[in-house]
Amino acid sequence: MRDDSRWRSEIRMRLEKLRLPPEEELEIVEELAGHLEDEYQKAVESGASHGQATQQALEELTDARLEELGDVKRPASGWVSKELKAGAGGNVVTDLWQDVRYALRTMRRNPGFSALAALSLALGIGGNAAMFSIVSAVLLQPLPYPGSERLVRAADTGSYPPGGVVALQEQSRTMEVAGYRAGTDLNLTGQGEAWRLTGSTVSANLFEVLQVGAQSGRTFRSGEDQQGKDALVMLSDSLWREKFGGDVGVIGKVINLGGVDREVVGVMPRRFAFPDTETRFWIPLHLDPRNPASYWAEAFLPVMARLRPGATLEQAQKEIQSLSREMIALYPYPMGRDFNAKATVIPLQEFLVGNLRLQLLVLQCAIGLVLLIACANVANLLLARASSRQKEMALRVALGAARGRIVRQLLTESMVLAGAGGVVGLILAWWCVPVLQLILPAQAASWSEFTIGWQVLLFTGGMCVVTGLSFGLAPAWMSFSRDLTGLIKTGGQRTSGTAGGRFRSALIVAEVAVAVVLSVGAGLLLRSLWLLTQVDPGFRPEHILTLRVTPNQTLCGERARCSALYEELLRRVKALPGSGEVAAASTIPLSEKIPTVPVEVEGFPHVPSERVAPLFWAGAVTQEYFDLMRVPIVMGRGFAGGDSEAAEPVIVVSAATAAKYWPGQNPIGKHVRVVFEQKWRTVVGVAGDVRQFNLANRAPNQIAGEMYMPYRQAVDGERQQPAAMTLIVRTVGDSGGVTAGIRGLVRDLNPNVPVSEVRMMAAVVSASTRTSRSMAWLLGGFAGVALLLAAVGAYGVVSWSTAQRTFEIGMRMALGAPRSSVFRLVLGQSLRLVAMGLALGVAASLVLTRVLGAYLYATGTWDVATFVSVSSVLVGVALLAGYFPARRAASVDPLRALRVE
Amino acid sequence: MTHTRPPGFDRELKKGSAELLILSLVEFRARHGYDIGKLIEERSDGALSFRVASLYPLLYRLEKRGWIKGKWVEKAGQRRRRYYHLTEKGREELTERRSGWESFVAAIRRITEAEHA
Repeated sequence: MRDDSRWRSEIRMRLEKLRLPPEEELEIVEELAGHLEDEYQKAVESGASHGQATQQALEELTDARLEELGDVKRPASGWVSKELKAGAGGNVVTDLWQDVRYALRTMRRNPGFSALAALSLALGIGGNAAMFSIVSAVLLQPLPYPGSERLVRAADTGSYPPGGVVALQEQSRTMEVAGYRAGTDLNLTGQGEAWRLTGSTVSANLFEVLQVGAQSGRTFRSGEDQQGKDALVMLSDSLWREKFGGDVGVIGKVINLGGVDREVVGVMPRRFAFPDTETRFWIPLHLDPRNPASYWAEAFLPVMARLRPGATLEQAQKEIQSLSREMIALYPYPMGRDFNAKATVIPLQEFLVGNLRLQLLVLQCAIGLVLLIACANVANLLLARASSRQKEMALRVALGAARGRIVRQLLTESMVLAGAGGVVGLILAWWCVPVLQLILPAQAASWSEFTIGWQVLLFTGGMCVVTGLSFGLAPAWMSFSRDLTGLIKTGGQRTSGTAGGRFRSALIVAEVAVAVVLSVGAGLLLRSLWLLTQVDPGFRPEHILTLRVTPNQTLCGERARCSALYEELLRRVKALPGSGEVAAASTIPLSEKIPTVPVEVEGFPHVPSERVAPLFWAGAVTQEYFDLMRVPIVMGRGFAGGDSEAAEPVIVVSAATAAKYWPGQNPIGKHVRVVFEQKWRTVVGVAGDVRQFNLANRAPNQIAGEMYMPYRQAVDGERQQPAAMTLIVRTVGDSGGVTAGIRGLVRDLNPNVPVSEVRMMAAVVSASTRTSRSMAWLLGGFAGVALLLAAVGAYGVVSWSTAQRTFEIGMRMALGAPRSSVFRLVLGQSLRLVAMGLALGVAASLVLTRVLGAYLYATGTWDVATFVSVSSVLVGVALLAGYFPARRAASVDPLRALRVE
Repeated sequence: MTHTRPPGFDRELKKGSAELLILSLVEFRARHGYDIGKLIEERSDGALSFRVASLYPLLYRLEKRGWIKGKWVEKAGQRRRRYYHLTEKGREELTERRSGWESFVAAIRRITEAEHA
């Protein structure tokens, strides 16, 4: 059947004035539309183009006598009233549907244009939808606990010894308080192969405060964190399934964790992940008030709470400060008066989101800017097309079409375009979300589910409407701000330099400016990432294999046993084929594990009433460590076989520590004492500085210095010789074979000792720049898309205006202008547009990129090199955008150009 | 109303002739608007042609006077079309108009031929 719907809206427009009853109008429209379609087909069959045929058919409607239709009353036919009932919305809905179909047809007729426009929008909309799905999950969705908006966490240190947590629990009138500690690493033994598991040590009331129950069994009961009642454990769903086959029979059974027998009391639900997704089990605190050392001095815990009914955040903030002050008197030893003086309380979600908020908002804004560029581009494309459709529009208005009707038609077209972009964009988004997720730290994943949910669909729908309106209004408005009669006469030619041309140029300038801001941002991040990878970490990570070996701490009850285990292990590993040098260390650089001990440094007496003792990073290493890691000993000596348990205790300090405490003096022979020990340790060597914490060397504030202890003399923050160590092997062959060999060796030595965290040192180094890298690449990707869109836009405008100026160019050439000057003229236009955008963009960048300060390393936000490179790229874009139109213009045949009319 | 190429036709004459043309075309079979327009154009070798904007007001007026009657016809695979056929009243009008027209043309011819002779 032939399709005549395209004519209906035209006919309706002309009948509007007559205000016919709907039945009558429908019938007339039906009849006339059929006639026009027949005319159109006839014209096409006799060789007319689509445009000619359409115009010919539309001319059929040109006659003032059409109005006479209003005088002729006819009784309605049966199908008319039926049809009217079916299309209950009346004319509005029918018209809208017709407009949509007309728009779809227009799109099909210009496939190149439509694809370019829809793709631009799809990139913008898709990126935004994907980004928003993450922003919405992390920042907007509440935590998955009942009444989660009343959950809070103590901040600004806000950690307390177990005794302090109990004091808060007893005294707080605004909060139900619970303490928790993430990263309780223990061995699960007696269930097949030994496993190293990460769990969390918690107050017995933690689950009550979170208001989450067990999926099987029960959670801890009040008092089960008291010494003697605490031999209990709760399992995560994943551990329960993997190790216990999802058998509820495990509840009530006893399992061995870290050498301690514990009764399984419950299994938590699948999605429960507090404090993080790494947590596979929960054990209660071990509260023993009779042991002041463990109750008040060790293992400070973060504190979270639920606001009591009626209590406000402000009240809780005031209360925690006064309680922290009063608590000072409870400590059994002198405590710094300012300890936790600034403690405050913030919403738990705000704490968990942390720095991620800024990162996500920066990225969302960046991709928002990309969408803005895409909109400007499409508006530009539509304007270009509108100018070629001006004659059609002018004719339609002259023929009596209501202007509002034409605006509606144009807006429908842009909406349909935006809708198409939105659909493709959603597909892109669905595809991008897993990629974007990689930028997130694991903690964010603990409560967020990243899906294209209804919020994202709603957001995308909203974006389509807003973008459709924003890029559709400009051409619709432009189509009326002109002298239409003049247009009909000139046929729409040679209108360059009109308001439309200027508007389009302004859009390009704005596009380029926005692209510059994004590129400068990305440039700064990429440059600082590059600088970061150029940092000398202080050791050589090549070919180094690391494995965590974790005997239960009980093994080190006797120092000699632990030392002997590692000595034997190192000896055997060294003999493995493929392994070269071998050492062991309590921690490796950049691993995010920070072993610390409180110390007193010779010449810096500790004043207990004023501040707490300085904390030193304290690594326990075997004597081969410095050589293997290629950490130079710059003064004195490293460790030797003689540095045994019985010998005089010695340490090696880092060069920075030596320079800080003993500037201009010989540090060899100076002394440092771990505060809970009597003996002073003697400095025997100074090692080159190593980036222990991250490549940017931003040590946590509380770290005052770094020292190495020989393993056999080592002590950790828990006053014990560290039992868990990392084996470090510089391999000479296949690391896989070495790994398998080491696993076998450890099993032979002690089947209850698991091997975990098998990583190459190079991967550890690379993982440490993950945040910087993901930010840089994402913003870089956004900037790339922005530049591409801006380049396409600039090309579009220059080549359109060049085409409009064909006559002028022909004239210049006829008057003797050489081709090279025409080439320069066109190229100059492109350069001028980009230069203006560049100037605006650079100015905006100087202000806007400040938000990136926190992500930059050794680079200011006013980095000249970045600005210069971005400017060069932009000039390249301008040259590229101008080159093709310029070449086309220079090859114009003046005679033919002058005939263009 | 009628869109005639040879200039000089009187408005009332055109109107009268157009009505006569339409009535004649639907005398023996029902036809739809496009068909009518096309036949007029073809049979006059393009000398007479109707635009949609003038044809349909005319058709509707004839229908209102009860000379022709339109009826919607739907055929499988085709668009719905409105076919017009001559009514009894229309047939009387046509006969009357036709004889009037023929004598008018004959009179004109007599005069113009005499001049040429």
